[in-house]
Amino acid sequence: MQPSVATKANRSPISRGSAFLREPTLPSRDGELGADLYLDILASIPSSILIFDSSLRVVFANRNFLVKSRKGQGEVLGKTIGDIFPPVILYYTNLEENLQAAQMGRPLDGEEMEYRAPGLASRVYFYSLTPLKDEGGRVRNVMLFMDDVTEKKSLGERVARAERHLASVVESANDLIVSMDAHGAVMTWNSAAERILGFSAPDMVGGQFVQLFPDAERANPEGLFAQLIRGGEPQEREASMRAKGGQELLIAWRFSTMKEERGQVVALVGVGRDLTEKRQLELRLIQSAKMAALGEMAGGIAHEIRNPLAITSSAAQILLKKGRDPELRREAAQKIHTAAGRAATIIENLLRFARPSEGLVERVDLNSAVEDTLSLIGHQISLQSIEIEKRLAPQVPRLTGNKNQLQQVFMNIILNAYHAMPEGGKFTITTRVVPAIPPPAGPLPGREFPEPVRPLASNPQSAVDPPQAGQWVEIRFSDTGCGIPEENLHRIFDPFFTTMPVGSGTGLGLSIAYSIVRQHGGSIRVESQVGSGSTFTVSLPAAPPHLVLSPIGGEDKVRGRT
Amino acid sequence: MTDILVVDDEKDICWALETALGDEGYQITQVTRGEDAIREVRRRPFTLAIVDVKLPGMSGIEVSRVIGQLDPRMKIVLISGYHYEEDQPIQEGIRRRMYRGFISKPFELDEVSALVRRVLAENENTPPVLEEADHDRTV
Repeated sequence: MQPSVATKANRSPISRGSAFLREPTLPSRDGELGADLYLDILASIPSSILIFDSSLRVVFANRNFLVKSRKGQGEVLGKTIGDIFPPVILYYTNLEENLQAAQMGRPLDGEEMEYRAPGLASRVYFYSLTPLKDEGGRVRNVMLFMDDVTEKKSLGERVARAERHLASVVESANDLIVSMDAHGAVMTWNSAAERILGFSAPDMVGGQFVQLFPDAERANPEGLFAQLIRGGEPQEREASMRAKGGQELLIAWRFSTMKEERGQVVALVGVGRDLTEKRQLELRLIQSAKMAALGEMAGGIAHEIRNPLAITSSAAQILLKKGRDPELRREAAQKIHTAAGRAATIIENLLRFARPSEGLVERVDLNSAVEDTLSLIGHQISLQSIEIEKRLAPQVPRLTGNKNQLQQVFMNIILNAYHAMPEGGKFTITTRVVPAIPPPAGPLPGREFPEPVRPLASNPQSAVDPPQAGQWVEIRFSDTGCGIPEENLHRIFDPFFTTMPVGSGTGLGLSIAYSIVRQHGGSIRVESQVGSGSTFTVSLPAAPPHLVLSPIGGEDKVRGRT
Repeated sequence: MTDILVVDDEKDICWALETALGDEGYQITQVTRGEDAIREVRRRPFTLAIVDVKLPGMSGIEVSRVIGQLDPRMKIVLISGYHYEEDQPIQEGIRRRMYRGFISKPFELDEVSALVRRVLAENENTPPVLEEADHDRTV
């Protein structure tokens, strides 16, 4: 059927572009808005509108519909919905039935439909059907209102996709990513956190994050969070965390705040890395470097043992030959006993030094650590006509750390001095207690590694044998050797940097020393002048805040991490 | 009386050498530092000096050089727990007749006594005597 078409567009500029079969009845009151204005609004709104008459034929199509559907007026006016929309849309939307329902007075509030005009990309419409009633309440017309939501929808899809992408970035990360509200309750918990710590997200969400810190360390993160919320800078902290099985894992955390537009903290974000494996590799490297140092010292140690052996052997020969003299017998036996004890001590020191460090945190008497180190290497040094002077302070607080590793630090610095004095010289070891942060480098050009750090908080566990908070112990190693040229000064702590011929040194000694001192919260300072010698100053905090004596292991031998 | 100077920073090594060599009838003077050895040699002559190579401060090699110059007639035997007699500085010293013998720690006191006897007996033209690694050697 081809209806006769009269277009209002021809006679009124304001309703240009819309098509009428016949003018629909539109609500209008004299003296208020005129019908033309209503029609113009209908024509120009950027949504598509079709108005059906009671026989469900189109009597009005606005401009937007005609443009979007690429249909001429003749293809729309007087047609049924079945003539206009492709069957597949009708099938999926039930548009025909809904239209009939609307004619019966039941509006359709809104549904989506995808409509593809010939030759155009498909678009998504949000449509509603509204019965238009006359004053008597009878449905005269039905309005199909279609809103093009293609862009909105695709934007929403892009947002959703971006959100999914971000979520999977967080989920695929190998690092723990955790967010907490301002009270420290866990909000999100990624799968790396689940995998590494063993707690699932449902286990954790809503719970307090600090629960995972061992009791002794709990005060630290709590203070840290308070500081963060007050607007502090992002904080880094290595902390042992209690995993689900009960074992403790060392995690390096970086905490920052998430703020809303006005700067109010809405969440705390923690990104953590499991250091267990890294730490194990470090321990292995420290061990190999130690073995290399032992190799260098082997000759000196052999000599050190040969002296008591010679004494034992000689005294035994004297005993065999002249054992009848009671005075000489007593004397010889005494010397055998003493010398055997000396050899045993050397061997014990050697074995203690050689065995892998388990990362034990204990109370270390620095003077005895220095003495034990010298018992292994002192002989070799004096063999090279190097005079050793010890100036050990009588009252050095026992510091919290790992004796084996600290001895390795001393060993490496002493070996360095040994190589710097091939023609002999003087080697001075001084220990002293400094009240606070070690002073900056002296008059000689120096460099400090790393910059000294102020302890963040006092350690509640250190009450057992209280090294005063803020107390530092300084061990100074001065040689009269060849010195280090200015251009090498900043490289001496680099791994594999060595000025010795290939095969003579690993170049790892000082870099290992640096790394161990750093792990103890301390610093190494070096001052040197070519031709007059070098001074290495190791500064160690008596009670580093991150090395905690765990209550489990008792007073002296406790689990820890260095 | 034959005067022997023993220079070793290990007092008990000095004690052992004094006990063993004293029985042979030698007069032993013991010092533990190279500087003390030089002072002793300046004061009076010794027939023989037994010098430890490793000494704190001044090395045994250096001490030997100084006391050898102070008293060229004095014979010097080196003793060491670190060096071997085939080591280059020892060999060089023996070749140049700076040292008349070498004792490796630990040692057999009987062989030390034998070495001392031989060194004292040899005249200037006999070659330097070395303690053999093979202790079964008959003297």
